[in-house]
Amino acid sequence: MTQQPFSDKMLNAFVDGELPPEQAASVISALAEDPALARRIATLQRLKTSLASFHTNAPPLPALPDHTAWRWPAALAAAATGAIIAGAVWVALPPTGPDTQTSATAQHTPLDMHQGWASTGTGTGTAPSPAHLPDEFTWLTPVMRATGLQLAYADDWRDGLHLGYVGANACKLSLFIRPDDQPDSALDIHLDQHLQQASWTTSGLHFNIISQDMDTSRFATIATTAHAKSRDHLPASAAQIALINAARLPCLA
Amino acid sequence: MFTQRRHHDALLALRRRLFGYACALCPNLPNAEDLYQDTMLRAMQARNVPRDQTALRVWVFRIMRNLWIDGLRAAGRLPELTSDDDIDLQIALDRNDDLTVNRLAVRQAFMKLAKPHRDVLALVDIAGFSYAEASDLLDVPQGTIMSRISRARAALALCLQDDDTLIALPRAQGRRFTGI
Repeated sequence: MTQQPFSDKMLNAFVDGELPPEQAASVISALAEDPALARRIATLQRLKTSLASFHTNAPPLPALPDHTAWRWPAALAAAATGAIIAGAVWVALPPTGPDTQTSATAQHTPLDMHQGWASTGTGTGTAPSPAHLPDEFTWLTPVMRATGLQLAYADDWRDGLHLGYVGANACKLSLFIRPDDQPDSALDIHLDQHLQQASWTTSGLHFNIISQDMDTSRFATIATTAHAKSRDHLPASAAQIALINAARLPCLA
Repeated sequence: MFTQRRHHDALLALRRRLFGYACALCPNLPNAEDLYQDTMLRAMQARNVPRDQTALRVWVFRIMRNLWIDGLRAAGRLPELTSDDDIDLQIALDRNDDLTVNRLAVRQAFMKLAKPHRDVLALVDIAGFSYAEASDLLDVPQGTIMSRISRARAALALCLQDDDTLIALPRAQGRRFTGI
């Protein structure tokens, strides 16, 4: 019989797969010639496997109390939503574009994501129904309705959300909302004939709006109204809605 | 937000092991269910959630363990978390080379172990953590985890041998089922 000294710690580590390869090999080679060693290891293994399936019937995830959000970050502090509501909306808005639930897409910029979605041609059909947003974004609905754009796409992006809106005349607009611990920032807007972008941070949320070939006045009206409503969460005034309506123009593409 | 789906899915994947850990820590099923629910609620409402899956798993189990410790502290039972027992498995095995390892008996014996032993065995055998992960979660050196595991399994073996009220295989022990 091999007189290899194997401590209890070594044998337990061996059973747990935690022994360095050289030491594990020495245990294995000793097993064949040491029945007592084999019994010790077998006992340890049975103790381990007996506990491995300690309890298989786990309860479901608890339902969050009313007015309690999935608090990814303080972002949602100002906009409590029930996880059930969020979940229901998610079911109601299956992504119609490319599957973005990959770690690779998490690295893409909002512009990348917008172009990826816009180029696939999705959104030209009917919008998913029921298309609605959680309660805390009710301020957004009338704003976007006034634009004439329909919500056609929704997907996760970088722990936030990518919403895609399409219009009857080739217009596509992306709205990105994600948690952000940075201080509130002013509206930053860039207008170019072929690319329009706006961004701002408010109440723990960062917004990006992107469109291509949209009339710059129309885009600016949408962005400024969305910015204002994201800050005060009040319904858009009739004047604001009228401005957005008046700015409707086909996109150049 | 919608992206909580990823968070939600990650927690779903941890349910069984997390509940198993709760059952290992708590004296009874209702307590385990309460600990599990409280842990999940806290994890679901957290502001800063690790994105890495491994880090997330450690983070969730740490939440549960901290809640468990808080409960012990509130009940004045925190000293039970320390254990100076040092049992040599070889000695335990020498007393009965044919130690019967009946799965149900093991589980019953496990619940009779001291809390520190249940804690470390639950992390490695029930929750499936590596020694490195358990070391991180308990904030102790990896060598300490090795020692604790060794002592815990020795204690478990001794408990199986010593307690004839545990269910044993009729074939091996020749005793009637007595239960606990």
